[in-house]
Amino acid sequence: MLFNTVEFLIFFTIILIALVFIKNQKFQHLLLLGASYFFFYYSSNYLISLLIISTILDFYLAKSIWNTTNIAKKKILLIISLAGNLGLLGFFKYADFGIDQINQMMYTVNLEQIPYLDLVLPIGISFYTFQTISYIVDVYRGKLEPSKSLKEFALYVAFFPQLVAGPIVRASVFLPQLREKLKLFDKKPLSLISIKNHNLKFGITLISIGFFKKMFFADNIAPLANLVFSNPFDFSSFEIWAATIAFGIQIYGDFSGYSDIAIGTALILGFKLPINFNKPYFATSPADFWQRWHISLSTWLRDYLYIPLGGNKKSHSRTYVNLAAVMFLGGLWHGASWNFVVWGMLHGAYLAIHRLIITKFPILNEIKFFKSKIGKIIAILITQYFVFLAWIPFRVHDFDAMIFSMNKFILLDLQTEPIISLILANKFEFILIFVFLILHWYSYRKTNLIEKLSKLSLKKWGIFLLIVVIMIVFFYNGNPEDFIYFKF
Amino acid sequence: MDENKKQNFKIVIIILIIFLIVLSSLLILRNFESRGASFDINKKDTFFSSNFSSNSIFILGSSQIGPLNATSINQILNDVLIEDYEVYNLAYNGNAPYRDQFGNELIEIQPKLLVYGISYRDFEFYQQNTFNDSFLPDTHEIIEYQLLKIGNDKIPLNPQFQIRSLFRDLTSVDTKLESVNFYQDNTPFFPYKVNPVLKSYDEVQPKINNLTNSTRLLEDTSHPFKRHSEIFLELFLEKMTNNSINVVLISTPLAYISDISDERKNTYDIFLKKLEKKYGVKTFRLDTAYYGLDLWEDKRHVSYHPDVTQYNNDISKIILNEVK
Repeated sequence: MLFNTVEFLIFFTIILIALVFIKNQKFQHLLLLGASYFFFYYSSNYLISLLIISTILDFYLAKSIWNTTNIAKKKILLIISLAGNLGLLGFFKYADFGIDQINQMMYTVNLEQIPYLDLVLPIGISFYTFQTISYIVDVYRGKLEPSKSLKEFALYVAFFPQLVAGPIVRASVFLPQLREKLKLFDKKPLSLISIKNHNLKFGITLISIGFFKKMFFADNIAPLANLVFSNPFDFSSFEIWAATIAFGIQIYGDFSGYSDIAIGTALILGFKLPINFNKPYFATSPADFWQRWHISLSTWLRDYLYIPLGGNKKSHSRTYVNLAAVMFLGGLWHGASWNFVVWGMLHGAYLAIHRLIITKFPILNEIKFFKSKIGKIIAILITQYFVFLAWIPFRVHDFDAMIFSMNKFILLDLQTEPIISLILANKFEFILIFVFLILHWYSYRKTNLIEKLSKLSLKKWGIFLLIVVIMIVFFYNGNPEDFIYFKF
Repeated sequence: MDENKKQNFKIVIIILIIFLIVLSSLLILRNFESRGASFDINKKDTFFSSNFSSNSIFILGSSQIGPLNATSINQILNDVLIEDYEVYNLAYNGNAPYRDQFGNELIEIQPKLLVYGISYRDFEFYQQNTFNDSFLPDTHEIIEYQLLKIGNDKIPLNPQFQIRSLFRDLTSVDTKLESVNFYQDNTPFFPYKVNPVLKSYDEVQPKINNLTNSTRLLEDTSHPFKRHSEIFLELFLEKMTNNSINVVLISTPLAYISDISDERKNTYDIFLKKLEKKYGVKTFRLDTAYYGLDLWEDKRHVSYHPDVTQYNNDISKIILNEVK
C-alpha cells in the first residue's frame, strides 16, 4: 500500500478512529499489529509468512542468546539468526541477479543457461531484515534486553509507517516506547495510545511536507530526468547536468518525503521515529553527507558493519578497505544491480579519499579559510559535485548510457544552445528546481522549521496547510511515480 | 470534552475544511474550458459527444499505437474505397487494457471496426508478480478494484493540465505541455513529440543487449495494475462481440522481441490464440513481423517520422481487408 493512494488515506483514518474508540491497551497494540500485517499483506499476500517467520525466529533466538552464558552457543545462535535473515534477503533479492551473472559466464563458454526464478521481491524486506539483525546483534552484545512479549517484538518489526521503506528503527528506540506507555498505562489505564493534539499537529505538518516533497517536487521534476536519461546519447553536458540535478532532487524529495510521512504517521500514533535526512545537499564533505542522507541506514552500516570490521581503529589502509567494503555492501543493499554497486563504490572512494586527505594533511582543519563562509560554500559545492556525479549510476541502468553520462558530466562539452532549448521546453521543471533549492536553503538556515510550523496558531497553521495542499493537489500530474525506495 | 480532545476536534475540522476548499476548487477548475485542456483524456466526454458516422473506425491502444497517423490511414482508405470512412486513433500513453477506457462509448457509436493494439508490456506484470496462485484472498484486488473501483474507470484526474492551461490563457505564456507536443484532430488523446528521432535498429539493439534480465524485470513490473489487463481485455472483447462490433487485435511492434524469453512468448501466444478462438477476433503479429526493421523511436515505439510509412501502410491494409 503506497502512502500516496486513496487506500492508505482510508486505512489510516480507520486506524485512527478505531484507536480513539478502543480504550483497552492490549487491543490497541493488537489493532496496530493487525493493521501492520494487513498493510503488508495488502501488497505482498502470502509473502507475509516471511515476515512472520523472521519475527518468530529472531524473537526466540534473541531470548536464547540472552539466557545462555556459553559464548560458543551464543555465537552459534547469532549465526543461525544472521543466516536465516540474510538467507531470506539474499534468496529473494539477489537469486536472479546471481543467476544472471552465472548465465553471462555460461554464455561466454556456450553452456546452457540456468532458468531465472522470477521471484517476487517482498516489499520492505531490506528494511525489516536490517531491523531484526540490529535487534539480535544488540541482544548478543548485551546492549539490549530481549523483548518479553512476542506481540511487542512483532509490532517493532512490522510497524506499518516504517515497514516498507524505513527509517530503519532500532529496537532500543522503539521497544521502550511501548514499555513506557505500559508504565503510563498503570496510572492512566485508558490512555495507552492517545492522540495528543501536539503530536497530531506536528504529525500532520510532517505528512504534508512529505507529500509536498514527493508529489509537488519529486513527481513533477522526474519527467526532466526521465527525458534525458531515457536516452542520454542525444544530450549535451549541461543537459546531463540539469537532468542529474533533477534526479538528485527527485530522489531526495521522494525518499525524504516518504520518511517524513512515515515519521509523521508514527507520531500521530504516539511513536517517535528517528529522522532520516538532514539537508544532505548542504553537506561539506562525503562523511558529512552520510551523516545527513539516509541516516538510519548509514548509522546501521556504521554500527553493525564498519565497526565490527575494525572501523578506523586498525591501520590506515584497513580503514580505507573497510570504508570501501561497507559502501560496496551499502550499494548492493539498494538493489540487485551493478549500478548500485558502482554508486556505493563511488561513495566508498569519496569517503576513503576524504579520510586520506584529512589524515595526510591535518593542517587543512586549521586553515581559517575552510571555516569561513566562502570556504564552507566551496566545500559544499565540491562535495555536491561528487554526490551528484554518483547519482548517475544510481539512475542510469544501461552501462553505455551511464558511462556516456558520467563522461559528459565530468568533461564539459561547453555547448550552450541545447541547454537553452531544454530550459525553454521544460520551464516548469526548471522553475521547480529553482524553488526547491531556495526552500532547501531556507530550511537549512532555519533550524527546526517543521516544528515551528506545527506550533503556529491554528488559524495560521490552517492557512499554511491549505497552501501546501493546494500546491500538491493542483500540481498533481495525474501520473504519480512510485516511491523509489519501495523497490529496495 | 477535555482540552486535548477539543484541540484534536479543531484540527480535524480544519483538515476537513481544507479538503472541502481544495476539492471544490478543483471541481470548478475542471469546468474551465481552455485550448490545451481539450486534448486531455478527461475531456473524452466532449470528444464522444460528436456525431460519428456508421463508417467510423477506431484504433485503440497505448503509446505503441500512438504513432499511427490516422489522417494518413484515412486518406489511404478513401483513395481505395468508394464509401467514405473516418479513422480515429484513440491511443494515449499507458492505455493498457486494464484501463477499460472507451468500451461503453464505442458500443453506442457502433463503429465499423475496432483495431486494438496490445503488447507484451500490457501483460508483463501479470506473468511476473502474480498472487493468483495464492490460496489467500487478494485484498489489493478486492479493495482497489471491487470496492474503490480504481483502475477500471477513469485514469486519474490531471489538475496540472487545467492549471497550466489556465496559466497560459491568463498570461499567454506557452508552457511545456503545449510547446513540445502537438496533436491531430482525429488523434485526440495522444501527444506527438515535436522532434521525434528516427533510430535505426542497429542503434537500438546494443542498448537492449546491455539490459540485464533483472533490470528488465524491474522495469517491466513497476505497475501493479497490469496483471488485470488480461481480464479486462477479455471483458472488452466479450462486450464488443455481444454488440456485433468487429475487432482485430494488433500485437504492436517491439525492437526487443528477440530478448523476450521463450516462456513469456509462449504465454503470450497461448493467450492470443485463446482470444482468437473464444471471441473470433483476428490477430496480426507486427511484433515478430517488424523485427530487425529500421523504424524505431526507441526500443518500444515505432518513430513518428515522415520516413516511417510502413506502420501506417500495414495497418491500412489490415483495415482495408476487414472493411471490404
